[in-house]
Amino acid sequence: MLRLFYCGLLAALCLNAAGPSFRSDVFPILRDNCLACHSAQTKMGGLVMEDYAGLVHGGKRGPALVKGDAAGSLLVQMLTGEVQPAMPLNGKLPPQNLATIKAWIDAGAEGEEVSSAAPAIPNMKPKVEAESPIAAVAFSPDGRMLAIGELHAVTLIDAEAGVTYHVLDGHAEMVRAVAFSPDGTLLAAAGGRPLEGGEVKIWDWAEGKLLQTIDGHGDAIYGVDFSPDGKRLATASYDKLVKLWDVASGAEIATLKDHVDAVFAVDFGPKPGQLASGGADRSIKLWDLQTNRPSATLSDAEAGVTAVEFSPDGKRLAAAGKDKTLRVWDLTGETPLSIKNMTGHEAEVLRIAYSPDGRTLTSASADGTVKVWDAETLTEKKVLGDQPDWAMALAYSPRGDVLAVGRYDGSLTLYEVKRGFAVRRLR
Amino acid sequence: MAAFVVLAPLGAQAPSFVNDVQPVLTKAGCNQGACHGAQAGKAGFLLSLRGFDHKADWQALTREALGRRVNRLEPARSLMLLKPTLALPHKGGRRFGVDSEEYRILADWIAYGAPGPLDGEKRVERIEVAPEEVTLTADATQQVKVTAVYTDGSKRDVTRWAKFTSTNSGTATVDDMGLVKMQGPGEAAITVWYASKVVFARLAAPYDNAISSDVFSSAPRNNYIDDLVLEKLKALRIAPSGDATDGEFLRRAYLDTIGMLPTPDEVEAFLADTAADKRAKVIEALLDRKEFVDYWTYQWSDLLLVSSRKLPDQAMWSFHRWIRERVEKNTAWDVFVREILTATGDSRLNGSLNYYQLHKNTIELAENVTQAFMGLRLTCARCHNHPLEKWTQDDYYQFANLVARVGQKDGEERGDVVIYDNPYGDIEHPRLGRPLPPKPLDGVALAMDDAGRREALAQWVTAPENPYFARAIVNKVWANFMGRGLVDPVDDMRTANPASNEKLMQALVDDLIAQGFDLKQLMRRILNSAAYQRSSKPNETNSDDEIYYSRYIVRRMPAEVALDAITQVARVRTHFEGLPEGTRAIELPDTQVRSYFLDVFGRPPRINVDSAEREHAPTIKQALHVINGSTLNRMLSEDGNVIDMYLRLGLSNAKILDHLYLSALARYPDAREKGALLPALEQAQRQAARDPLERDPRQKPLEDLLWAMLTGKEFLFNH
Repeated sequence: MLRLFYCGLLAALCLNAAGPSFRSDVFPILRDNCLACHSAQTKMGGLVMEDYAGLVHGGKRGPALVKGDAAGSLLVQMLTGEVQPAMPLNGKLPPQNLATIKAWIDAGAEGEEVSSAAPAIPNMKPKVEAESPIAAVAFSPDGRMLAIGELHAVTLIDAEAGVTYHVLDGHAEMVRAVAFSPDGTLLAAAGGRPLEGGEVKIWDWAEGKLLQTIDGHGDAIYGVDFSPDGKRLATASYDKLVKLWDVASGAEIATLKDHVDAVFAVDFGPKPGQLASGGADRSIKLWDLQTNRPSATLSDAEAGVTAVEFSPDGKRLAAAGKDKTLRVWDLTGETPLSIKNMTGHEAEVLRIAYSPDGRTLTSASADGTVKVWDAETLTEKKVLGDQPDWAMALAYSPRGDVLAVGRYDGSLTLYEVKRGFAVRRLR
Repeated sequence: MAAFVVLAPLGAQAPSFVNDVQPVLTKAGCNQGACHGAQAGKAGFLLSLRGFDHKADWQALTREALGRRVNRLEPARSLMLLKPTLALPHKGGRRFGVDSEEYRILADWIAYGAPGPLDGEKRVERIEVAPEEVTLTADATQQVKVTAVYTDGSKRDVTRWAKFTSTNSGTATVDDMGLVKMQGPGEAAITVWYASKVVFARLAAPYDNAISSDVFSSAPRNNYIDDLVLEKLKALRIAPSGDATDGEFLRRAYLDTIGMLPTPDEVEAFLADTAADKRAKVIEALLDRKEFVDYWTYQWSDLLLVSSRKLPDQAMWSFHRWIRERVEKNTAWDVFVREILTATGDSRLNGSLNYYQLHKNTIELAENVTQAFMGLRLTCARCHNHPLEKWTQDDYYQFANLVARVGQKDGEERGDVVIYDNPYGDIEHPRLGRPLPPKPLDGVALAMDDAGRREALAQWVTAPENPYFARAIVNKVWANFMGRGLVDPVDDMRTANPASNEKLMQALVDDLIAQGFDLKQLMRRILNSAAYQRSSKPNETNSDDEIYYSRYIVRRMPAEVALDAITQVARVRTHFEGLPEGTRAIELPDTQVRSYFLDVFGRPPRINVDSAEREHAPTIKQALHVINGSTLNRMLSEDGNVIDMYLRLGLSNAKILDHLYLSALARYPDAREKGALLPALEQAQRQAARDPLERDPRQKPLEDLLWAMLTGKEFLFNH
């Protein structure tokens, strides 16, 4: 009789001791308050809190838990501020949440597997017809082929016949930058997944053959360019870095680190050693490729820079961006000299391009226009108005007679530069 | 790359960016000031604060950074869904889950091609809340329901997407979903914000007092003010205090109406008067006094920032004179303000033109008009839509354009200006880069070339339909007499700051309008109410009440009134630099005139229109200054002061005491006071008999007595 009584009591105690459940009580608290910094990706302090194993393993300071001893657990000590820095960094956990965590640890901190913190991403289809934006465009050096960067692919279009030549697919996400090698044999297409990583694919485009896939950068790539000798590749990424790569091997040569915000544009100049980049930190940097340090930082822009380009003779550098202003520097002196600027648009400038002869400069803007300027005086020569959507891609044909404009809505138009007429719509 | 062609199911519709997506982003906090709504955005992504700029927000989401945030072909892979669900790291943490309503709306919108704001699309015209007003128990919960009414007449329940805040979290708290929980007795308003529109739900929980209904039915009612005050008190179960004594009434009516104490003769006559309407008669007399003009000229000079800080002396005087003339004539308040707002010409001939000399820049001028005459602070909307009010940045710059063409040039004499209307000149809307047509807040826009901009402004400001103008002045006048505005702070008329008795406020506003903005009439109404004439002594049910007027609210005398009262009781004269002997503090045209006493007692510097400029709180510095400072010490021993007079006239000790008490406290000394003071004075006198050559030995004890009276709470406070 007595024994039966004890059994009953024990069972009651055991039930009680089970305490809060990791899956349904504790994990949601961690997910909502801690994972911004302690996901598998960010991993601050080396601690991953996406699952039970991560907590047990702990971070740089050791295990987060001492089973059965909430007060002795680092997790609790930092949540209460007993051990600094007090967590969460930007606030305080509601007391009832802290109590739940303590009760769970005191009860033995039993854990079940939880699905990884990252929710399953649903498979959704568009509900209306949708075209991929065209985020980049380039002419092959012989002018026959047009490469356009889209979602997951680069499409090569015969510029003369207007037919698709190849679709080079398998890219991780949007292809936001494309560049042909100076000899025209290779095509570099760069992009990647925002926040997850950059990607460059180097194609033997004529054969449709993938030569290299470079995974680098911590975020998507927004600019790519070949060096004049075709041996190196420069990339600009949202991760604030510019990187140099060996084309043949795909190996990283250098990381150019000086921007403090996303880098949107990178350009090799025609002269040896010329490399410029521009980004959201409003600066344009000219890099010394011996030391991999900036040789000059141009801070004239009043908002983020989205486009940077050397003139074909390498004597000028042009840039533009969110301040709606085109700016030109003279590079012939010892230091770059700002010589001209022109607030020529009513919204941000998205891309710029020098004509091959260097006499005109073209800008595409979010204001719905593409404008052709005299490169020296920055006086307006032509307006290609009524753009149906943001013109995000811009390229001159090698002869300088045709301008290709690709847009967010997926449309692509060829303009005859001289008269400013749309001559052909390829998309 | 082939385009996906998937036809939408019949009847299905793309969520609207303006009407569906923006509310989600706002409720999830994406565009709040601490996140992407910050001036510079966050982590390279900028949204307008609480989603006021639809086009810019739409472009930032869909197109900026080469279409980084939205993926129309693979909607669920859009960064704007991956981050807030923490599928990817997000500094802002998890905002919603994959299976939430937020997610469904945003994902659906992207799947429909992420369409932008449409021309002619319906917009939220107003929002409604239910219940609007409810009385609950002190521990009740109540769900608030919010309905949006659109420009096409359609309605939708938007409770899920509205933002809720409590104006008084001690009485009621509200959660994210609009569930209200009462925390105790009292009243609270829940502010509901949705799509830049604001409404309120008013909640009340009566106190736990058992009060017989006789208390309310038998309470004196002199006019509608009493009906409405008692109605509120009854609903909240707070019993009113009893009637003030005649002496208490007389003293406060003098202080509140003309800024000075009644003389002993006036007190004695009033106390002796047996007429039933003696209070009403004294009120009439006060409204006609010359000192009434001094006191109210000072009040409006505070409001209009009359000061030689920015105005040359001449100009300051002429502005002051202009105000004084109008108070003297009891100019209707709407006329008074209209005259200022439409004035042109030479400031030598029209002192009110100095208003424009004080506010030279268009932005400052526009902000002053709304702040001074309507109690609205529009400054937030200079840079973005007001986060808690309905005022948008467009409203702001349209309003500013009403005063953008005020021209100003030097007059013939130094410090003299000529004000005229320019035929051109506008303020550019900073975001649009062009000026918008001038428009009163909530009003109809004028043509750009309309020459009557200030006329239109004045007409709109002073119109009876303007919900802020009459309300602002009613509140100021009410606060002057009742010790606290129905709306508090007294000059904060934004909708998010409701009156403690909204019905009463409305009745007073209607009354003022019906009386043609006659402020004396308004004062007469307030002074005659039983609410004004209540005792300041609390009973067991109303000691907590500071806002429903169940008793007269005790407050320290304002700086100028206090100094004049001390001077009056001591029968001395104050000296102000550059002004005639005997000028009273309340007569000063300028707050730049040096006076340590006035500064310590919180005289406003008249730099900004802000009721907080005047310091009301009693401070240690004030106490030290009256106890031990030069102002009082000098007066106590000054030749010809009140003590000197008593002794020269050879008044009896009893007479001296009576006179002193009547003049400082508007009452006779009571038996206890007499019992303590008379023997002390007699003892001093007996010493005098022994040594007839000495000065009257009562001098010292009388100085001490006077000092004690003037530093006492009963004197320095209005009660």
